Amino acid sequence: MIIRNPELLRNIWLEMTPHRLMSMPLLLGAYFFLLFVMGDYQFNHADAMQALSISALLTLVWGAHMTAESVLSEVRDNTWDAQRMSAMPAWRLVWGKLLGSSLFSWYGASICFLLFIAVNDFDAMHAVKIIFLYLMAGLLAQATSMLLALLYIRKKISLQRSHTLFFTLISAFTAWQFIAVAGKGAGTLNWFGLTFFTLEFTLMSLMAWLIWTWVGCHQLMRSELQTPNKIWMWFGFVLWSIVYLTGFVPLSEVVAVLPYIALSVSMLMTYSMLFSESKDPVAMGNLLRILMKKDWSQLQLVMPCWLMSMLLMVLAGLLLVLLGKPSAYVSIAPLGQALDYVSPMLVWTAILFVFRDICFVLWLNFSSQLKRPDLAAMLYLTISYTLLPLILSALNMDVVRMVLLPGKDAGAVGLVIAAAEVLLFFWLMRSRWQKHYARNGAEYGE
Amino acid sequence: MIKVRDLCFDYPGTRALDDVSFDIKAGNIIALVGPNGAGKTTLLRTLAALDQPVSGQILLDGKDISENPREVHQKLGYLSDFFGLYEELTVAQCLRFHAGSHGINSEDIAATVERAAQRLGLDDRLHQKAKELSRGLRQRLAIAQAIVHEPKILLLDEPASGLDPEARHALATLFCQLRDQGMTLLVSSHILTELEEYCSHMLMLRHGKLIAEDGVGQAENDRCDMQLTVVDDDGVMALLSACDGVLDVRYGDDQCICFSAPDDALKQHLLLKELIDQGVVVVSFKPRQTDMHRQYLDKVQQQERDIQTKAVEKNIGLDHKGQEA
Repeated sequence: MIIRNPELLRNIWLEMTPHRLMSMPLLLGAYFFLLFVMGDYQFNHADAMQALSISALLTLVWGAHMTAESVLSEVRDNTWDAQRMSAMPAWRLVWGKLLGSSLFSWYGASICFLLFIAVNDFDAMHAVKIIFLYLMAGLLAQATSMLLALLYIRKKISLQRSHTLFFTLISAFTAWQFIAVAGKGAGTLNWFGLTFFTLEFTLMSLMAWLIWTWVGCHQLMRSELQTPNKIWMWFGFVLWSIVYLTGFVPLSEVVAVLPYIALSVSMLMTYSMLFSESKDPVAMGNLLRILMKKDWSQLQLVMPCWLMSMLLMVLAGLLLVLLGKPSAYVSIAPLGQALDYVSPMLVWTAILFVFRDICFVLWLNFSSQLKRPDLAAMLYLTISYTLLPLILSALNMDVVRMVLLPGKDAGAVGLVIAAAEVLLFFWLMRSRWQKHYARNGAEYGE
Repeated sequence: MIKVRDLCFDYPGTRALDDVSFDIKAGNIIALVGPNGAGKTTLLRTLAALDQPVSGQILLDGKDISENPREVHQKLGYLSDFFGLYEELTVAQCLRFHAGSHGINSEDIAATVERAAQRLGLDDRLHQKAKELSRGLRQRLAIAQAIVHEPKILLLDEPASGLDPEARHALATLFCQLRDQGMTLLVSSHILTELEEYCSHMLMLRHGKLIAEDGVGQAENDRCDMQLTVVDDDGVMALLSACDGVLDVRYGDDQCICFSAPDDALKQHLLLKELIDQGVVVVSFKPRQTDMHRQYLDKVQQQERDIQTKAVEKNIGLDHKGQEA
């Protein structure tokens, strides 16, 4: 099995050298021996927990670093094209990289797990669950890190070491949240009316998110290998996220709250994919051409995920306007807030603001001057949604705030202002597009 | 073997390949020439199904590569101009990895690795790490990796850049060997003398357009490119143009007069006689050397002339319309 995955074999050659195989147990053995001596020649429960923490450090941080590097270093060292031209199917390449590049961290973590099993005070089943939790969290961190790396290389921006660090930190933090939730105690929670112990539910959630992250890695790897993906996988992920979050709502309120969650999730997905995905003007031109030809079978192969999410957001908005009559102040535990009745006007204003932001992000991306248009867009949008409204409030200029934020009491005026902003930024985006990229006339449907 | 039709490729704001069409027959070494930025690398990457064109079609053995790029990758080997190696792996490990990643059975891998290493003269360095190899040997290892799965077609982007003359000659010999073993090679370079050693055909790219598709040093349709040097060229161009069988009369880059004449000794003799009879003082009259460099420059000049002619025709047309208005 190992021999049949050349990528795994290559990683084993690189990672599991005799020197490294010796150094890891020596280092960990020395540290644990120190704990043993300091604890009056015996291990205690705290040492078991320390062993777990070290395993988390190895798999969540070091492992995630290595899986991100398994993609980024290939691009940096000009070996990526050779991999893209290989006969390896996408999934084999993904798991060869995921397991192979992090193998050394798992080697160290397994030593820590052995010590934990030997000296912990938990009952056997609980100890197994905890190890399973750390194992899954490690896998999630590593898969997330690779996912981010695969997303990033599609932007074709120069790669630096700091990117690996950034992806590692995000991935480790994300995975650690599951460990933190499980570590809060032996409480219970309700999901679609069913009661679960927190640890068990966290484990199940972790597994589900891990599977989706693996699916994401697989889809992105397929794209890298020039195998087109259909949009249904992304559609499925967004739907699953909506269902997962809706599960935390009391059963009696599910129908009323579902459109809110659908709108929030699809909005969040639109923004996250808008900033993550490549907005290559040539690919955008290709998309435009396919749209104008009404070639639907081709469209589902080239449609970016942010566009798909945006369409779902509009559908969710429509659903909210038609069905959203929640009883006042429904509490949604994971969102940490209560929902009040939202007027249709505000829903459409919010959606128009998303359209405006999309045009703005594309406008910046179509610039030939900006090196990091997404970063610039993120900065400007953060300022316009946080700092500027605060300044305007401080200056008692609440009316002007409608230009920057969808106001709850803005009504039709807010809607008109938002629509005007959409038109303005659409015009700016279109002008820049025509100036820089639509020189090839009919190719872009001009 | 390869058919390219109306291929267009865009980078933001730039058309890198503009309506490129050509055919490549099996068992040849084809030179892909053009200045820096002509679109050579883009064309090779598109042929290797690494980048997707905006429009057009590439057929490999009659199959559209956009429909199944993974299948195409099995028939192709590609060496990028900025290739990378796994520095910490030995030559044998590098080759073994590439053989495995191209789907070669585990029981055949050892023999495949040995064969590729022998072909490239690396069989005595199998246990040396890639980072310890000289530039020439690294280039050979990269080529060995690209051909380890015995592809039908090998695409090479500037394979000889940075190599010393001896290594370049060795590379040329290797390319000829690969061709003799049935492989088709498409080699990109802007150093024409290097390509002349082994290429039989030439594709010329300029500003993303294919300006010519020729055999190297071959006469076209029983015609011969001639070179005439005279003491006074006044009226000679017109005289030549009026002569039977003479085509494409022009000034060459060394101020001699060039033209295309029938590839027939008697006809050429009669042409020279007519010129002398007409009072032209002929200094030399000989077939023009058609090395790759000259062929390339001729085509470039011809393209420039065509562009100028079109521009003049356009201006005349505009003036005419203006007068009518």
